[in-house]
Amino acid sequence: MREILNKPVLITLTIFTFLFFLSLVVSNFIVKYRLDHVVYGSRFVQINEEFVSTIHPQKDGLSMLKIHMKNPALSNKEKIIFQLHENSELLRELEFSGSNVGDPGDLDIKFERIPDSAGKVYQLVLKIEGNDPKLSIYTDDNGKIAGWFYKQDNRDLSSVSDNLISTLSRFTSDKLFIMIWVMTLVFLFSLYRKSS
Amino acid sequence: MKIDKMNKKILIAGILLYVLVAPFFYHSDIKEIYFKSQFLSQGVFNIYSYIEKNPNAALFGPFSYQPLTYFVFGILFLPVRFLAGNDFQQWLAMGNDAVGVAYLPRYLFLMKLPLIAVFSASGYILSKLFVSTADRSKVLLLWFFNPISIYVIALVGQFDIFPVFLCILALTSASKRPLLSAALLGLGAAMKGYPLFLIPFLTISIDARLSKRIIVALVGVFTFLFTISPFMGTKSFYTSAALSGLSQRMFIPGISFGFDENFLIVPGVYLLLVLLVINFSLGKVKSLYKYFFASSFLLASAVHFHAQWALWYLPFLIILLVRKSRFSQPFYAFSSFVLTLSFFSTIFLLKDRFLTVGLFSVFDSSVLYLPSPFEIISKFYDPFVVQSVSHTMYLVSGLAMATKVIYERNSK
Repeated sequence: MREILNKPVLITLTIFTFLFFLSLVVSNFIVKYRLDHVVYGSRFVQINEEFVSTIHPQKDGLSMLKIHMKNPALSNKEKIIFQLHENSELLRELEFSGSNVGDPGDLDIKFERIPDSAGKVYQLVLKIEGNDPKLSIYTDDNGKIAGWFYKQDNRDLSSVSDNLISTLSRFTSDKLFIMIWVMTLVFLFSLYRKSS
Repeated sequence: MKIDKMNKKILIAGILLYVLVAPFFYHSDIKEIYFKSQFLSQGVFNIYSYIEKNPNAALFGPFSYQPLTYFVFGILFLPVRFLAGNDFQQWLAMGNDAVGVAYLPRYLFLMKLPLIAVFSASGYILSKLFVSTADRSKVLLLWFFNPISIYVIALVGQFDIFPVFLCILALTSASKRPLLSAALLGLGAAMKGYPLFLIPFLTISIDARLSKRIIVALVGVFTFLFTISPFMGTKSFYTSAALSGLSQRMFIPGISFGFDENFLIVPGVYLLLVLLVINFSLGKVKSLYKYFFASSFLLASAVHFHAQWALWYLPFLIILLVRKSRFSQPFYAFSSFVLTLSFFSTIFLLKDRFLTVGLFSVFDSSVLYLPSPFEIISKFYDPFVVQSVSHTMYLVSGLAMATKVIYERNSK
């Protein structure tokens, strides 16, 4: 114990390692839905009767979309039909009400897992039965639906290693952050060593 | 001021921990405060009236903090934005769950860096209250490596460390420069209201004549009033900042006298503490830390509290534990253990999932779809009962230490 107190950096590394592995365990082993890809939006587009867009999942197991919609003054309470097609074949269909849409707000659309979604192109269709007031949906500059697209994994080791790599690559891909962060750490370490 | 080798090592190791951890954990509060304060860079002076007139600009509701908070973060926003890049401002305007953005670790690191700097300076000043190297080491170890500090500063990133820093400075200057001490408390209250409640204890504890005591109290109060004076004519300042949070909650816990009358626990115990300091510690500034601990703990725990409020009393609790090596006494060691444990079990049962699973959303945003501990427990048992038990344990363990330390001193 005295040895540890004489080397406080050991306490630092122990706590950091604990928190880091706790995060990895929670984010890799406990979560049900995992991010497949994100399409960043820039504007709201009004829906007249039908909105059509494409989805390009990168991994197998597509099972949820988180999209952003706007229901002015929460007044539209009509039926909304969500469909997912592949080459005109209807794969999934769900119904919900305009009451589920905020002003604006996120909307989670969960459906049965599509096991072989990697690399496919799906057509998303939203049909709105009553259109007073008109709902809007958040899209990118090209009118493509914006949102977060989630998959459900088979719980095998390969998916865990994939997830670990994608998690860590998030940190390493930001060169500026890594540079500032590592320089700060190196500076602190050198101060620590000097004081030893 | 010189710092010895051992304490320098602890200080640097502590800072290292916070710098290492900061980019990996996300809570929406820090994003919200930077978002609301960015309007200063657009020339907005009165944020309260601005949001009242431009409700669309305030995506996250009114600015519910004191004015100085707005100016401090409005100034900090500029260097953070410069280093964070062009997308930073756009990200601030996104929802609380906007964790899918590419540069999130960078944003978190830069936003938390000023908090870590102030937190580290606070630890350093706190350690300087002790003479022996061993005691200073204990203070630094407890300050940097206790789970509450790590959670509130490194993981969540709460700005309460700014008023806490000012309160620590106020304590250090209380005996020699009481006017400065009072001004620092007033300045602290200009960010979060609670330091105002410490002013009576300062006024009573200092060794001075009545006229000087009155001047000290007035300096504290007027420093606070000076910082809010430009906003006193703004109606929304009262509704969103002055009369929110603690000032409302402290009147809620009560015991019924019957016929709609209540014994108000927080004001009642607070008055009791004021009477105790008059009786036991009039002119004894060395005892001030005990009353700072007792009163700030009361305010931070006897109401429905936020996690960051634990920082308010933490420096004074650490002084209490290190002085006379109290932490090695079974009573204080066990009470501190119960306090820490019950603090986390109370916080983790709040419905806000960003306080628990949401913290890990930097690793994978999907954690936001995990059930919170509240939802999990509600499947088996009433979570409010569990939370109430935890909260009660939290309050009792802290008040027990406060009671004992006040009695301890005066029984000798």
